[in-house]
Amino acid sequence: MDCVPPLEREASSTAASENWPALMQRAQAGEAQAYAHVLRAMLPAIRRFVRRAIQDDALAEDVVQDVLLTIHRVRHTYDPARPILPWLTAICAARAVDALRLRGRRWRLEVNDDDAMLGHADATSGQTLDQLAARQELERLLHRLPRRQRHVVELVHLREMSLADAAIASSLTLSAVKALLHRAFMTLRRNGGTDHGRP
Amino acid sequence: MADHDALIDRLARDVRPVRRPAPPWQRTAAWLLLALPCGALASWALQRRATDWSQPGAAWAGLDIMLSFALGVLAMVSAFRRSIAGREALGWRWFAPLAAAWVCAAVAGVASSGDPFGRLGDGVHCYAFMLLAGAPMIAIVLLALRSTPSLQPERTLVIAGLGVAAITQCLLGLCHPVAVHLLDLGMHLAGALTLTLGAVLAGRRCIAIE
Repeated sequence: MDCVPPLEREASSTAASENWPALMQRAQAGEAQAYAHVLRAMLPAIRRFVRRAIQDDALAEDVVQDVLLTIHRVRHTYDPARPILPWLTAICAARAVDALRLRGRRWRLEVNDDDAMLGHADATSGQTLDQLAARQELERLLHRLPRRQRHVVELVHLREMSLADAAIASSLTLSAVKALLHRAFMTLRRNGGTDHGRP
Repeated sequence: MADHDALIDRLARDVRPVRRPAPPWQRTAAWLLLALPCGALASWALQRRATDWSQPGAAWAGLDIMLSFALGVLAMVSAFRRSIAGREALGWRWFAPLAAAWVCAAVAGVASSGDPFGRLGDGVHCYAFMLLAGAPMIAIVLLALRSTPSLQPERTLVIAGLGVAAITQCLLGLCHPVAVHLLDLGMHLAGALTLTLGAVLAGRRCIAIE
């Protein structure tokens, strides 16, 4: 049985992984260039690890971003005297499991009742077909976003709140709102691009 | 790829020098130095007499205190280790012998008591003591754990909560009659359970990674 952790197998293919601890140490000292370099170097290994755990491409890319944000949040916990891969593997695994758990919870809460849907009066029947189609497209795209991202997009772009007001309304920090918006747009852009033209 | 590049650029722009956390045993020692006096001070609200070590069965009570302290220290080291990504908690091999010895000492203490079962209401005072002494200790451990947000906060907090309960049990042993009854022991365990649950409920959001 192969007992080498998956990320270590991935990383072993990129010989540069030996430099990660040193780069991370410089990143901990506040060196932006070293930080960007080590994150970019880690990215392929993170992506492969996450994709192995999550088959859904959109969700996997979301998790990759989540892993990058988590690394940023806990970068001070890495001890350069220790190997970096167990630290990175633990972050990837925890974030992948969290995402799968969240998705499973969302699926369990969704109810598909076609009869009830057909019997429901259409309040938008007065709108033009174009308006209706645009609205449905918007709702479909927003529906694909995780709850917090959707909420922030609705506050800032549909209710036209400022970022600061949205942060207060959603009890988040300004930087968290910015990060959520950024991730939401990445997801929307990805989904918009891949689904364009499909029925 | 380009999406992640943009994020990486932004994260790199925001990067500031950070201070690495101290090793788990150092954090445990610092926590003990702060939490023990706070717990003892908080417990002064309940009037209790110091243990009379001349009573028969005092040896079991003394052993119980030492084992509780050792279990508490190990649990806290374990919790601080676990709060760091990629580090595992101490394995069950560390805890099993001490926990077994603690159970044996507790059972021996009960057996050597003149009234092993006790009376209804025994231990309520001990329960209150544990909650009073344990509450500031939990607050301090949450503050300590906040500096290393955990990937699995609940598990970390269960271990930390058990550590606090063990140290509280140790404090309780210093002002408790040597004779322990079953009902009394049950209330001690209920106190430990309440502290653990309290630690998880109070800390699962504050030590999680946002």
